[in-house]
Amino acid sequence: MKTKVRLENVHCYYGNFMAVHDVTLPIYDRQITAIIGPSGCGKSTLLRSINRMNELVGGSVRGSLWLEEQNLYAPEVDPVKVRRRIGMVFQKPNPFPRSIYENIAFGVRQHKLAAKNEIDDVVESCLRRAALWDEVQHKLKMSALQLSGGQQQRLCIARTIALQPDVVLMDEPCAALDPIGTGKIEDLMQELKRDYTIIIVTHNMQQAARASDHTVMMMMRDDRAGEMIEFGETNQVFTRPRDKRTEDYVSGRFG
Amino acid sequence: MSKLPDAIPTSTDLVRRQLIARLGSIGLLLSMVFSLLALVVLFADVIDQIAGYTVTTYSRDPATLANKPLAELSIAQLATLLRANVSDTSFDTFVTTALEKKDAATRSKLVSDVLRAPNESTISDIPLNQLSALELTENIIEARLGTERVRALAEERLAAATPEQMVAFIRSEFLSPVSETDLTDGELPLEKVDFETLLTIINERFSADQFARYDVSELANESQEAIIDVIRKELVGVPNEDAILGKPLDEATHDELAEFLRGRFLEESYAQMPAYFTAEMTPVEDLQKLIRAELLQPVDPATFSPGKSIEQLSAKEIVAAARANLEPHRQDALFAAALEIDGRATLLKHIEDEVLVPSVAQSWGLYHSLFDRAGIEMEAAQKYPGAKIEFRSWITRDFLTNVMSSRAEESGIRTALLGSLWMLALTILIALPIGVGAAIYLEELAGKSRLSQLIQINIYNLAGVPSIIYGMLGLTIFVRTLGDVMGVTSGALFGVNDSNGRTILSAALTMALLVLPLIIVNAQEALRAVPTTLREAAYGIGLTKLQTIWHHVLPAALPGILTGSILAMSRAIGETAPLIVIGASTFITVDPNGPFSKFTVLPIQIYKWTSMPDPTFRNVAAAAIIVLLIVLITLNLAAILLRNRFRRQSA
Ligand SMILES: Nc1ncnc2c1ncn2[C@@H]1O[C@H](COP(=O)(O)OP(=O)(O)O)[C@@H](O)[C@H]1O
Ligand SMILES: [Mg+2]
Repeated sequence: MKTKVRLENVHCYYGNFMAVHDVTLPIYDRQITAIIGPSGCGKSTLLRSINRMNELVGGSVRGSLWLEEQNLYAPEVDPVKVRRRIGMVFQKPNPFPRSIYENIAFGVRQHKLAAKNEIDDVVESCLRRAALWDEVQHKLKMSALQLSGGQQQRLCIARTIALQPDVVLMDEPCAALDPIGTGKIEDLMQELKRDYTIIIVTHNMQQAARASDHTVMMMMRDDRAGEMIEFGETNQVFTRPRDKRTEDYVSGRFG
Repeated sequence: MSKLPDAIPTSTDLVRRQLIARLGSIGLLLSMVFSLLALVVLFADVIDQIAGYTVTTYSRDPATLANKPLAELSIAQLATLLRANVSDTSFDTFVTTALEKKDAATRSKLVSDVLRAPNESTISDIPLNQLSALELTENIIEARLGTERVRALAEERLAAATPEQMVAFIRSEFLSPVSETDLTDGELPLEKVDFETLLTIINERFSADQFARYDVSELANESQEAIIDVIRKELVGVPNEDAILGKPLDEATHDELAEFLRGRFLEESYAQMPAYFTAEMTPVEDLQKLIRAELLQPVDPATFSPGKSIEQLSAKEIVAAARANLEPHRQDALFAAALEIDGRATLLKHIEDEVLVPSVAQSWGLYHSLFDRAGIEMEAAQKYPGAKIEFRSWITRDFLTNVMSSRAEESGIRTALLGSLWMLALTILIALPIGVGAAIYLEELAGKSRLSQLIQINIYNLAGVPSIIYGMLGLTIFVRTLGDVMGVTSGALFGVNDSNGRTILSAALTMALLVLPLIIVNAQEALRAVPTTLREAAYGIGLTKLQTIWHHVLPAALPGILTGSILAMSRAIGETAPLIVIGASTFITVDPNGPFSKFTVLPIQIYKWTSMPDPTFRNVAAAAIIVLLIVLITLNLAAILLRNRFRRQSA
């Protein structure tokens, strides 16, 4: 299996506070990697440091992160470019307060990814891939805020893949959704896996077990810095955890 | 399982708490009622002033203007009446403004219509050769060319007449047999006529010669019969020819005859006589010829406006040329045609305003007018007998479109309203970009440095600085330094205006300073209210900071920013003190037409009117207050609507 993203001795800080301690981790190409762990252990911090979103809220990183052969934190790298290649879907669906069409077309136009007359096609194909086309094809001009939560989240995913990223980060994408919405997103992830590398943070053990190929287990140390205590194939992590704490956590005896 | 707190309030505690809460809410209710009451009283006072009965007195009695009611006069007659009663300058202004409503082509057509040879039918309904000599002289020559012309004509006739003609005329006028009926207008016989009338007959008909022979004052003491005898002897029958000139007429010279006739027909006091004389002494054909020569000739455009074609003339030049180069009847025709452009109603209004000059002698409040009509009518009838009493609202279309005037009933807020709007537009044009820019900088770009915190605190403080301080700042910087000295705000630098720096631009800059803190703080709040998730979404699709702000944060914050700006505008439109300090004008009759105009604004106008001695100005001020309130309420309503839409959208 090819490694798409590589984290080497990554430490994450907020000012002087260390939120994540020394994570070294390969993320495999066209696989779904789940990050699990109790609240506050630094899952989101770690995820957001991959596309350099963390520095927008005052975070910094020590160690190195690689997208294929590119060091993401090399001084000459433009974080804006990083975010284009590593897309992100957030916990709370956050479509732009514009039309459904415009939500997808905006980024495409901004980055000149398609000629003017091709944008319609791009919008359609992205909505199809996000399994949303059938539901919205007749109301593309409608405000995205009028969609249901699940539809909004799928729209956000469509918006992300419209930029043809290498990696898609998902930070608890189903936390605000009902089980049906959740199911649809999970199906969609399996669909997208064929073309994209996906990293997902989740609180839902079943989801991690069902949907992911690899699992990262994180835990907070006494100094409140998060560290990775286990990494392996999902099957192994859930059935034969090497760490006692993982076993307690995945079986619900913890937190 | 949570535990209940240890100390559960006893029932007395509860009662006390409820009492305090009730007292508190009553206090809040009272303060609200009090402020509402104050508002109602303010409104009630203003509204009381904006309508009510007024007594209007005219400086001239309308009935004495013409022999017919004004409503029955034709436009031409009204125009003549107006011309006769107002100064040439104001009349010319009316004509000029009317003409200016039409383009040059239409104007020149009006003029050429007047210059053209008129058709006979425009002069008289009946063909000229069917009219008698008297009709030709009186109805046409005198009516159109004036009495002086006829008098001159009569003199001409007199000089040209042969003695034979004059003798024949005198014989037919004075020597035809007179019957008693002729003397008494049909009341035969003389015995039936009363004494006074008999004396009148003598006074009217006696010639100088006869007066010399009788002493009329003594005759008055005689008996009726004696007087009748005198009349029969002296006046009835064929008069004595020799008595007229003291010798037989055939022996009189031309001059003697002419002098007699001049005394009888051409004296200033006999208004109709010259026309009669002319008509009798001139062959009809000559009169017709004269009319054709003098009235039915075209005027050469070159004499109307030497050196220029009529199309090139401005309205003003047309009026001047008409006055200088046209006969009276053509002047009247041209002016009437011009005034007709404005219509009859405007003409009547000119006559009312300029000739009759109405003035409000007294006005009553609205409430008084509604509930005590009878009382008001009695009072008015007593104090101003015969004056017009009418219900009048002071807010009218005219009030909005009239310029200022020293007479309350003519005053309007046109210039003040335009001034306010100009100032408002410029203020917002200046303050909005700067304010929003500053807010973006402080909110999105500047970190939490000490400097930015200092700036922030300063802005909060500036919002609380008394507005008059801004006025002084504006006076020093914008009026004096930038205006008088550097010529930027006065427009001298741009060649627009060579006057001082007390211009709309200076006012707008001062106001912009004044509302800037408001706009910045409001915009900051609006920016802060934009959810982080929206920013994350934008960054997540690889937008730069500026793109994120421009495409997503700013649009989302726009309703909030606009709301704040509208509130700032309503603050600016109501401000008076700073504008007084920088020297807004108080009396301006010319519309402000650009950033470098002198100006006045609504609140200053109101302030000025309330301090006028004539109490009628208080009604005008109340009307202006209502207009200002309407503008303010509209602005605030817009702000509320925007805010509500914004809330609903983000919900
Ligand atoms: N913007 C921030 N500034 C400072 N500390 C932060 C910030 N975001 C998160 N943290 C801290 O970093 C730690 C990890 O947070 P987070 O990554 O959100 O945890 P998780 O996503 O696993 O719940 C927490 O202790 C949290 O308080
Ligand atoms: Mg999290």
